[in-house]
Amino acid sequence: MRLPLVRSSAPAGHRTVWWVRAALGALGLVALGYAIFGFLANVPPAQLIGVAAWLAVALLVHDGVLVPLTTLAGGGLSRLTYGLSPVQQGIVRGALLVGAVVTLLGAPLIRAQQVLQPRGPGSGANGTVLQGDYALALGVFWVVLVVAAAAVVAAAGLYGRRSKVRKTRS
Amino acid sequence: MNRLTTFLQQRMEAVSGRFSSPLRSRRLTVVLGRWLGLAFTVCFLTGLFSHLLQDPPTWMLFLTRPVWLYVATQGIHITTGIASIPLLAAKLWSVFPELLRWPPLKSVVHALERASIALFVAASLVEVTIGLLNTFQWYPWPFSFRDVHYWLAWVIIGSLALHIAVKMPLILAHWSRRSDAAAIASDTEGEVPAGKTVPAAVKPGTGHGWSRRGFLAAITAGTGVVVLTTAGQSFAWLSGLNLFAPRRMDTGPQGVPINRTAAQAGVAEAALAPDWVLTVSSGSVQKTFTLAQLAALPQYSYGLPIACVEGWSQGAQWRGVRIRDLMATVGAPADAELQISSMEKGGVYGRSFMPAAYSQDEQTLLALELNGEPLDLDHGYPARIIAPGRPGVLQTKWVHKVEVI
Repeated sequence: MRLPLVRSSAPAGHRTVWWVRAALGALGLVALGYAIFGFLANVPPAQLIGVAAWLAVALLVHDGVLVPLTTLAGGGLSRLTYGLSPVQQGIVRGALLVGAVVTLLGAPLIRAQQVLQPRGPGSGANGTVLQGDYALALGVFWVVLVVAAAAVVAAAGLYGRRSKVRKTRS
Repeated sequence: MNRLTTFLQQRMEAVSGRFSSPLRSRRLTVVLGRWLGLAFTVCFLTGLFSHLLQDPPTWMLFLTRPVWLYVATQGIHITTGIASIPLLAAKLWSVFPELLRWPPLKSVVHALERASIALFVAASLVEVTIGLLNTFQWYPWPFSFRDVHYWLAWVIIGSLALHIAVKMPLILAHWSRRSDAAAIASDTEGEVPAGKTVPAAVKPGTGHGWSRRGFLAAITAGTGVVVLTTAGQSFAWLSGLNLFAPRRMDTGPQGVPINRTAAQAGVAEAALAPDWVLTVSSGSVQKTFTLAQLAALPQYSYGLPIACVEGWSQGAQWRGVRIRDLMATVGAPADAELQISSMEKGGVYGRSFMPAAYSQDEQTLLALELNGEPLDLDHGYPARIIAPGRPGVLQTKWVHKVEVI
């Protein structure tokens, strides 16, 4: 494996970095070895197959579906927001990213509620878990986000136009 | 064969080009990596603390003050776990084209490095997913959560150390804005390898108005929002913003949430039986107490939080008999180590071990009342343990036996 060179002028720095890398690498390998030993000693083989399957599926779903989707969405967004200024496009992208992050956390809650509390909060075995109205909260969050982003985009547009007008006058 | 390799390489480069973005720079990866590395490390250490409290080695030091110790450590564990979800997604997005590098395996060492990264990524994705779902008490996986979550944590922390060791020159070269500029200057002087993403600083003005800072600001905002709207399950001062956590404060019987109901534990009948007695024993000395006899002993009242491994916590007022007073009735020393048994049959937490640090603490109670009323059946009626700074799973409910061991 070709490792890029450390760009440092002091040879003493080189040596320190080398030692830190060696120590971290060794510690990492020890921890990994401990983890593998722990898995083999504590998790039954049938469950280990389940863990391996979850690990493989996680990689496939993330690298094969989620990231390509974000790239497609990004490309589509560039077309949709073509007429907007770079700042306005940035605001749209930022708002969508925040919305996506909150949805990533909110969607599993809604699904879990459907599975565990199918007839509304409190219908399951334990009424003190998953009792919020997460679908409503997520909906309201998106509405607020869209309205706020639209307002900022409009404000940025107005400000841009005014500063352009001022420039031509001066 | 050569033609096939060239064809594949061209295809991979084309796909890689499709995924390349001026945003995907090493500087961005380093900035995100620092945050994610910090979140993972804090999450690992607080998780390890929780694990050691539940499964203590002989050298373990038990702290009973501050009484909100476990509220803080487990709240931080769950909150950093939640924060690491958007950070992990952003970090992996920033290095995605690396996945499409061609040839996929250049040497044995390269193959090992890629395998270790695949393991690191897969373990991280599974760890945060099962951690999040576990806070919902939703278990859609075919393995034991506790063991797998714990051992995957070791896989992740080991992989993290190894990853930093391997990537340290790159990390150092892009650590600060100044070093980043120097690294880019020297990179662009030399040969730029095929498929390498161009750092944002080299190619400004992408036309999307989407700079590295813009992206980082959005990820920070997204992470901030999910933290602020979920941490209210653990920290009372944020409970007003709690929109997306599976738990709420001040709900449930007597204003306290429940982890396991009496029905789930299958104890309702035994707990409500009129002939319930508590057995206290030390060596050959054994005594039994009815609920009325326990209530006749000196009662103490303390405001103590109950904090669950799943991150939620709740402050409450508990009233009952001090454990050390109870031990004195059978002649046991105040600093005895105890085994507390629940009427719950089976289950990992039907019995708990109480180290001396808790048994001799004046605030460790066999609680009979919660928030001014007799314990609700779901809170462990007729009697439960409440000790300062302990995980909720060790605050045994429906107690029927306390023994010196």
